[in-house]
Amino acid sequence: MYLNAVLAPFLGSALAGLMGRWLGARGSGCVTILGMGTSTLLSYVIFYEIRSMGSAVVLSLGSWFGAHTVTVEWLLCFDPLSAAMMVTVCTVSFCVHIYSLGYMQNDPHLPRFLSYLSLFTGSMLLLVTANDLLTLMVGWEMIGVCSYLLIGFWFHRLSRTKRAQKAMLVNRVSDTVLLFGLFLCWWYLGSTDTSLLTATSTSAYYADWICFALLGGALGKSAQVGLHVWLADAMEGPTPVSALIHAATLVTAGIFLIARTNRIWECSVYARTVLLWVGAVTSLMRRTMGLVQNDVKRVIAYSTCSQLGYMVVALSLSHYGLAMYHLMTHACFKRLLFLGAGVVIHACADVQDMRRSGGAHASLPLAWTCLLLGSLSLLGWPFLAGYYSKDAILELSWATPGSAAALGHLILMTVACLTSAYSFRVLIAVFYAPNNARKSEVRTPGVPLTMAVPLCILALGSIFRGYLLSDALIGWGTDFWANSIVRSPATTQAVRSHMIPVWISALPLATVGAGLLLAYVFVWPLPYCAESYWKKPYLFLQARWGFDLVWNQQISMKVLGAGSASWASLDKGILELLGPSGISQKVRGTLLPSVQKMQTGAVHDYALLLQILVVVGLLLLSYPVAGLTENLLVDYKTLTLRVLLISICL
Amino acid sequence: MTLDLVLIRPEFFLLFGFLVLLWYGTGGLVRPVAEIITVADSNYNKQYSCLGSSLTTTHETEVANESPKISYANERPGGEATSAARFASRPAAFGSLRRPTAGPNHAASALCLWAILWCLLCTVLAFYGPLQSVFLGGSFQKDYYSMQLCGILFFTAAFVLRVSLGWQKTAAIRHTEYVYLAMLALMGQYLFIQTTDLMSMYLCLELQSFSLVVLCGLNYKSAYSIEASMKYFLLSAFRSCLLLLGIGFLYWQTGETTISHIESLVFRTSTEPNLLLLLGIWFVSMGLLWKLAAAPLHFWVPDVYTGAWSSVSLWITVLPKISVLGFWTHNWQNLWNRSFGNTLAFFRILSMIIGALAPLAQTTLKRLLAYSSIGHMGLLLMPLCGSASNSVGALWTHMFIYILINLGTWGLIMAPMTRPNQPSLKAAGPQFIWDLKGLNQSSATAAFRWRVFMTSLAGLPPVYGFLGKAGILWRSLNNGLLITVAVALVYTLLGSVYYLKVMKVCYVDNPTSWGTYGKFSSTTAYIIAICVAFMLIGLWHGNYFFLLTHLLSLKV
Repeated sequence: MYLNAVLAPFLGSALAGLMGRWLGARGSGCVTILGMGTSTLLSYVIFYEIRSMGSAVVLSLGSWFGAHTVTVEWLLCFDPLSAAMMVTVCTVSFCVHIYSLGYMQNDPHLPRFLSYLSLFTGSMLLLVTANDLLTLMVGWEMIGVCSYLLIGFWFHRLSRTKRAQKAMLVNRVSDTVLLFGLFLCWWYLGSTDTSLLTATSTSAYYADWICFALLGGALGKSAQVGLHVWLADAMEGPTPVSALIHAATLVTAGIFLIARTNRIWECSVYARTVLLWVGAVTSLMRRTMGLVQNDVKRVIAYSTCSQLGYMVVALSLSHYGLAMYHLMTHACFKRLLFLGAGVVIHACADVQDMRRSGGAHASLPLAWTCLLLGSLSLLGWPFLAGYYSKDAILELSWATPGSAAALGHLILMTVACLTSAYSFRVLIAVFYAPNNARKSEVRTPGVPLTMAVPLCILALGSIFRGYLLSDALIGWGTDFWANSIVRSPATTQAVRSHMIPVWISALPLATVGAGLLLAYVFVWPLPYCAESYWKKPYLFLQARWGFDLVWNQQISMKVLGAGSASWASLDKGILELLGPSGISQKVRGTLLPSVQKMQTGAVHDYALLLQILVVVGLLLLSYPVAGLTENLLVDYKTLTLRVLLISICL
Repeated sequence: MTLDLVLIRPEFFLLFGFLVLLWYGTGGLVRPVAEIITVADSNYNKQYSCLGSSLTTTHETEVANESPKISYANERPGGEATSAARFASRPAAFGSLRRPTAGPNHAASALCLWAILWCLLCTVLAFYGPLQSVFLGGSFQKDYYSMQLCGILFFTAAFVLRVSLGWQKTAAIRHTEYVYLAMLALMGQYLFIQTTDLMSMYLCLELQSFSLVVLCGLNYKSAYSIEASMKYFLLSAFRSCLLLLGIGFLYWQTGETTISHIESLVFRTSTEPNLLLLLGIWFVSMGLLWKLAAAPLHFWVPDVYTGAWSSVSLWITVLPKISVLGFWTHNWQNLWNRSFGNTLAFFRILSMIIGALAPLAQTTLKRLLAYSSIGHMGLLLMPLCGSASNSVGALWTHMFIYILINLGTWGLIMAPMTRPNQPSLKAAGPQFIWDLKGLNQSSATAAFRWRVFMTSLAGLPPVYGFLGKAGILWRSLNNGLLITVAVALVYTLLGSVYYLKVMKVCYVDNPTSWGTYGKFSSTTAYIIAICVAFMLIGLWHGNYFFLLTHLLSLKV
């Protein structure tokens, strides 16, 4: 069962990918959905067994490789952390599979698409069940590759292949850092096995370094500040991809990595402080950028980013369970948002621009409901999914002692306000505002069943998931996480977060109202932006804080320049001279002629060599050679005779 | 006395066989009546002159006037040299396969078949001879090791003769002395393996050298052949001088010519080594290495290979090496190791360097193979260093595989090739590397065979050649010959360049001359196919071979 849960998506992917030509779109849809369905069902059973029965399972699939002290085995570890992730990933992926059948029904390459999706899910399951950082890295890289393939799924459009490459390349940077982190783990802790890792970690200087390297890895995958540039661009891919990968699963891989290695993080105060700032700054930055975007999917992407910031803050406050909890609820309502937006986009001829839409609540009531529900959940409307997790994070940051946490709370509160502002902005612009669409883009009412069903599932999830899981995952004194998450006694502020003043816990609700107000005055920024002093920050935000500019001009260009310089001087210069062309030139130009010159063809030259060899033999006699005894040299008589002979010969 | 007779019956058998061959080849029985019937076709000459339109008129008239009947008539009673020479020159001038210049009806071919039978019988005799002892006053010794090698020698000789039988037709070898000279050389090699005495060794060496000199020069119409013969003769004369001088030194110092005695003397006097003794050993070793064509003594090889007939080249590539290596491992190894030891590294490294570099510039296939044989000699010398006992197995494994490869490769070289745009050229096998251009299109099977043999020569994995090379490298690594192994690897790298070049020419290059393979002699084709099969499956079924060579190495 356990193995089947991981393998089923791979099987579905292989069938759809390799035999899609014969299975057809419908057939490959059935195959992949069957695989995903199996996986989903099993993941719930696994969740039940592990959560309720408390039986973590480690599955050995044999050893992979071993060298020196590194022995890597294919161990699949099913503990509460993995189980929670599996449930999230499988559910969401299942919904997206069904959804994409409807969304992509006109695409001729649907089997390929489904194959990629399933492959991605399988890799993600591999990642969350990996027991070793190296095998985790395998899943990590595979989801990266799948993300690349899916972003560039419509590869015939240049911008999409470019964006896919951008995602790939940015992730390369972070993966390199992560790999370096693995080296550090192996060097200092002697193993990359996560169970050993956590058992051997202590508060030493190297814990900081390992944490920073892991953070570097998470930075790229989870699109935190610095390496976040790829996420918004990744929205070029098909909407189901955005929903599956860039909202719920792939981007949470970094969060999961940190949660998985939580005991090392517990050993490093410094790294957690940095983590807090990374989370808070990312959150704020993305939110402000999101304010001025006009692309529906992009806006939602920015909100994803800032929610990831929330999770990172929760992680940095040592409440890993809370981060995982928020991850699960967020996966649900963010997917709902994306898929709802996808319905809108699908209905109006793939127009994503908010300025060219509006008035959709009449023609697409289901989408309207979903988006409203998702937004409210995102804002933390009481008793929806987001309410439980998001408010818990805000309360936790309030309750944590220290200036950094206080500042974090302030930032997160601001972010919450801005979140509500642009969530409402999307709702107003797309659904309430008068219709701005062109004639050719007039939307077709009605939602196909394949798209409606996942929406309903997710909507239910957004409503109930928070409530259902709240006590189990982050309740007071819960032992849900068992051994998979262990906190040091010094960092248990979680208890205090239950004892904060009521007005503090009411504050997030107040932000919703403030955001609504803000959204009404800010749906179209046109009147303000004529003024230069609005225009500048507006353009600054529009340019996404200039990150792309700085990356491209100050770093990428220089790296490329250095690369081309070193290519010219090293690869095509020194190495080429010492390597292929240099050697072949040496051989052809110098050695060959000399060897050929030796073959004169004259008999007396050949005979001369015999004489030379005679001399060589004499010389050999006068030098000690292995096999000759050493007193050969001492014997004066022999020596004299030898010299005499040599001189005669010469 | 009776025992002696029983013991040396293979020798008697051989000698008797030569007498029969001589008698058969030169006199009474051979009446070339059959040839007159097959060749005397009046239409034939006309066809012929049409084909050879590009030739000078003088030749044409000569052909027109001259009837083959007459030339045979001339040849038979008087054995007049000029007429025979003229006859021999004709195929060289006309280059057609139509004329049965030699064949099963011809004396040389018939002799060759007889010789093959003799070789096979000798093989059986050598393999299954039950008695092993010393004979002829202790100068020769039959033991398991030498007899096994002799058996292999005869077996190989049989195949070499069989491969060259087709070539005899192509190259118009109608010299009856060709066969018995070859058999005489074989006799020398056979005895050389068994010899335990320096004098008898010298005699055997000379016996085969002289035979080979004459064999090289048999094609006296060709200046190349004369050159080959002269070079071989002169250089082997120089080498013989040194060898004799070495033997003289040894005899002077020890009063012994028996190698084992000298060995024990050297061993006992190792604290006070004698200069002349050492020098003697050095000179004799030079003689042997010259015969093996190890590097600084290799210069005769390319010229001789190029000049001589391909069949003779094949003979020189394979058979003397078996006998000399057999002698070296059996008798000479200890003496050399005691006195000069690792100095052999100089020869093998130089051999590999020459074998790696020189072929890069070659354009003719025969020269390429000549240099490649020098490189392989470098490899074969590797197991002779260090503790030899465990390496001799690797040596013979590689040697036997090398024999197989050579049989196949030279078989392909000796296969007739037709060149439509150069009808004047002798219809021999491929001569230059670019003769093989576009071979894949004209004859995919032949191209595949070339590919298999070239990969084998390079010693690359999917074929049998890899096994021998890997075995030798492995042994050398175990013996700690790191530098040699490094050189061997570089040699392999550079070597693969020119072997792969041949493959590239076969498969990639566009043909320019449209020379195509003609009709293979069927037995040759079978032998090549068997070699190819060995090359292909050997890597997976090499156990028997390993056991054989291991057994051999245990009996050193």
